[in-house]
Amino acid sequence: MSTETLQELTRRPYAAGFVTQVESDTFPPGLDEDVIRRLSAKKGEPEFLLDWRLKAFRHWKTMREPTWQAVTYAPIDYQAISYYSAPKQKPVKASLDEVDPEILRTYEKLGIPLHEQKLLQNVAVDAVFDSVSVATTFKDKLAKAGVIFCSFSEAVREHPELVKKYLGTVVPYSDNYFAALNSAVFSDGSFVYIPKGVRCPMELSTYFRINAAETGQFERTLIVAEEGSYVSYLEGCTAPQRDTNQLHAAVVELVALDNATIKYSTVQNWYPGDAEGRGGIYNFVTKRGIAHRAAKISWTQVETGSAITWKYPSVILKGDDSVGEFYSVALTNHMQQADTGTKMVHIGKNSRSTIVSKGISAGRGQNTYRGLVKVLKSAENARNYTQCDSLLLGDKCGAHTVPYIEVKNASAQVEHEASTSKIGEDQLFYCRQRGISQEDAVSMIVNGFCRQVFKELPMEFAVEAQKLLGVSLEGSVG
Amino acid sequence: MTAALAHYLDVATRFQAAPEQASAPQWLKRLRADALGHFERQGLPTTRDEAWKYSRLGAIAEGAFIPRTDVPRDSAHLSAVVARLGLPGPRLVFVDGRLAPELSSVAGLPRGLTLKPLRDAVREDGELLESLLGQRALANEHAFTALNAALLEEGVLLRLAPGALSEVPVQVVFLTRGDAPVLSSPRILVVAGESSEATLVETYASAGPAGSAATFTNAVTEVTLGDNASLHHYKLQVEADAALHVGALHARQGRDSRFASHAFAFGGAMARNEVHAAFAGEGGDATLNGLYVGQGAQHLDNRTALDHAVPRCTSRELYKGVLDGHSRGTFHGLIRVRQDAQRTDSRQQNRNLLLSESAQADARPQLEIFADDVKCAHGAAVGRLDAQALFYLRSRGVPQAEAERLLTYAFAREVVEAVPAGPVRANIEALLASKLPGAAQREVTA
Repeated sequence: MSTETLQELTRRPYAAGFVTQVESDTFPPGLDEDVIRRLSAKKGEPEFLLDWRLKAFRHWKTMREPTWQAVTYAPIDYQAISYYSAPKQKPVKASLDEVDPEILRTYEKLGIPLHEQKLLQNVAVDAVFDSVSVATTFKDKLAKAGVIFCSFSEAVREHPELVKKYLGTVVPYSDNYFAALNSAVFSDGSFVYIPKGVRCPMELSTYFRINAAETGQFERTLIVAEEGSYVSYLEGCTAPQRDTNQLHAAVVELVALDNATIKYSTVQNWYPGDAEGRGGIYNFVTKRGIAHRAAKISWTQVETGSAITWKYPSVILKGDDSVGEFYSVALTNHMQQADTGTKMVHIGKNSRSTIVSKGISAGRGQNTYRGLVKVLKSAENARNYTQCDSLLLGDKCGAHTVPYIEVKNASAQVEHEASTSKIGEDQLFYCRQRGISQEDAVSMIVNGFCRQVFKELPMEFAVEAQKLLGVSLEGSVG
Repeated sequence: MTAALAHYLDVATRFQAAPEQASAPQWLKRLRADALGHFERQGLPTTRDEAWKYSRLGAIAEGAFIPRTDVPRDSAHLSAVVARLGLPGPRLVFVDGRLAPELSSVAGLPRGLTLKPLRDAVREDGELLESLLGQRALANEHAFTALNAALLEEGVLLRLAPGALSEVPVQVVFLTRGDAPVLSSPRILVVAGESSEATLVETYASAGPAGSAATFTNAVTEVTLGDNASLHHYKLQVEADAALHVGALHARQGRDSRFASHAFAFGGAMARNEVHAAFAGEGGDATLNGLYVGQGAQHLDNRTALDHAVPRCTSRELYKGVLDGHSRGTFHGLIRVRQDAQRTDSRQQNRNLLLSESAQADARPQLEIFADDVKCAHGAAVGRLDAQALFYLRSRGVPQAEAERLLTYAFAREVVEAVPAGPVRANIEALLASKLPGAAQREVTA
């Protein structure tokens, strides 16, 4: 027995009472089956979930961390992470004057309304814009439609049968190293259930789900859209998040039953580290949806943050006539690295998929599109169109394209196109000639380059995403 | 260790220890021994190796193949096979990996060109060979290249003096008889001096009757192009159904040099063809074209890699696949643009036509770009014949089967048309016609 385990044993309260007697709100760093049992007990989870977590953990221990991706990072010490921490109570600030002026400047550039700024920085919000009441109004409206939108923990308590039915059906715990880790230790996340035939009356956003604002580093999201339903879900936030966690290993599962549509939009702007590559988030995420007959799953992502972005939102086109879409903008500046793309697995007849990926590399950033389009033998008349374009700003960055195309059915039509270029001197000259500064001109041209993706975003997100690109590109020109 | 790996190690160890190798120069012995070490360390690739993800080694991994030791004699049959291939120009012919002097002829070799068997070159041009063999095709990076080097003995040296120009194509022919499970490991070395220009045709064909035993050809070609040199390279792989083929060509291009590779893969149960070109001087130009036509259970595997290491180089790639029956075609093309390689212009296309319900195509176009002032694009597509085009032909009274053949032929012809008109192209057209028999008929009557 190692010293660490001994210390761990001595630190632990008397075993008989560990379920309720643990005083601390944060577990000491370390991961073993006992930690998972305590985590599960603390959250009052049913037996099936604990079993599932343990199975995932046992499987994780047999796996090795993948190395094929085009990103480099210092080894992660999984025993140095604390796997449970109760939501922290942030100190409430009296006014915006107490907030770091640099963050405020960024907010201003992004055009974030004042009350949102306060919310983001945990400043006491005045009565008119009381976020809690706003959230409550939304909750009423959703409840009337029969939509369940709550934190994952709440779903486990209130709707265990739904969780049990769908959890791990799209991303099994054995899927990959980080998905297995997440399955074993996930702390919380979001759960959405749209009943049959319901069109969700508003765009759902984690932003308004106050009770689960601190979802931690191992989030798990599960969205189930019943037959003929529709939901648009927004994840993340356009404002910079100064999170101190290094590793984010999240899992997102989408289930679109017959004729359902799920639209999942992400704007990710985690802390990217400084210009020298110190700090920043490792964003290692597994996202996958399964589309049944005539169902549609659409992923839109704008990835500008994180030191490392490594994710492949995918669609399993299981049903006939199902549709998968992936629209992505990934920007890497300074020392950022992104290895992202999608997988479209065509199983159903007449299934269609579209992939539009725009990669922008600046500074010493490295940007890789990695994607798979797989047409199985059963996918009669499957259709895929893929376009990935890369834009290089500066001579020290890199842009890479690694698509995989596997076709096992002759009736399939699969097309892939990719190009790499830099901003044209003539375009820049044209803008400069009309009195637009170099920086604004670059931002404008880059936005034009990303237009195809931005138009897929919900309106207000699109506006902010455009501004976000400008902010993220700062210092990369000239 | 797998049984197959043990087999090949045993074969190579015995070859290197054979008494007739005692007189080989020291450098060659060392090269072979080092390569054997590299082969043992790497082992045979599996689908878990990224570069072999879509490959099936098939019978290669069963490891029954052994090199032939007897020197082939001319026979009326072999002469007839060579004549049927209709190869103009000076030629060296190998049968089951061994030089067949009586089938070879270097008559008519233009001035400034040297074409000789590698065995002779080892004796006569030792220094040149020592400095170049294994320098382009690295045994430590590729298991089959290592195996080829460990068994290095037969092959060809083609040397172009500076300024030498050759109008006639130089032919190297590799025949397999299929009367035994033979392993051939030819090595072709091309050294083109400054401002020289030549055409080299490598042909791999079977001389045995249908239903012959499987053979395994593991060929390596190393090309060094001097400044402003130009090489047109053709590879015609038309081996029998049971044949297994792994071939790798590595070219290093000097300043303002031009390299055009045209690879035609029609034969074999499993055939892998690799073409690697690296730019070492500015202003180079590379064209990598390929056509693979598969039927039955053929597995045709294509890999290309372009290394843009210096500025101002241009590359164009067009690989097309026509896949029928249960055949599977794969394409993996890498374009790497290094940080210094500004003003690179590179384009790559891969198109696959699936003619049957059971045919498969895999495409992996890949860009790795570290420079900003570049123009790079790639495209890949998989599909079947255009329904509208078929309808157009049908509406004009062309029967369905004929219309399909016509369109298939038109699809494949794009690659053939990139070959400059002349005897080589005529030869390729004839080979393609025999692979797509219906289309040929149409061609004649049209």
